Amino acid sequence: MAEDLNLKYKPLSESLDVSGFECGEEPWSLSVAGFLQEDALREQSLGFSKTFVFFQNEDCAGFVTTLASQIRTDRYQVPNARYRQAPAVTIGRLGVAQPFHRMGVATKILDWTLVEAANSNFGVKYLTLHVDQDNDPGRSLYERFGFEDWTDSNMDKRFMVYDIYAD
Amino acid sequence: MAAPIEPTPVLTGKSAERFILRMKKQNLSEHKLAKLAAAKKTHEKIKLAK
Repeated sequence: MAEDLNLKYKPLSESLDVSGFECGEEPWSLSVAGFLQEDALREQSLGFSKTFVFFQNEDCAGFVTTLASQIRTDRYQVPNARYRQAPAVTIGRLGVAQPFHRMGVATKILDWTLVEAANSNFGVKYLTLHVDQDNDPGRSLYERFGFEDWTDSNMDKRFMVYDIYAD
Repeated sequence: MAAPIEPTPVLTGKSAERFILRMKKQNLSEHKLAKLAAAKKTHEKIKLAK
């Protein structure tokens, strides 16, 4: 099914209608859809994040919101870290519209985001994201992609990290 | 029947050894570089919508 996809993307703008976007009934799904519909454009206009919307034909298939960040490598005791902080891109939100679930859309969006980060004019060493503790499908997706769980005991969400260049 | 086409390695012999050694020195991962290369193929197909 994923082979049939021919995704295109657009940066989020006022002219894009994302009001009908739904990605499920779970609490985290409602939060992700609510962010796209209510917050993403404002956050983008203030410089906190950028959102990209993916289309299959004319249908909105999913979106990703990204922001610049960093990892405290000393805090996580990263071996061969070289620096105490390392540049990262955080995936603030990633949602796939319900009709496009289980078609490989999320993995394609992750691939796209990985390359955007790697091709950036700024150095990027890691992709990071947070997943709700009970969001098992999300955690499973990110682990399959190669993210590692770096969650500290005092974090209320799972903190997941993907090193773009090293294991 | 046509003979099967063998994949051509990008680097062979000493060049491959030197490349792997350099990667290890830089803490680079063959696996991650291959994954990035595969992701680039997906990325190329996802065009900016007009």
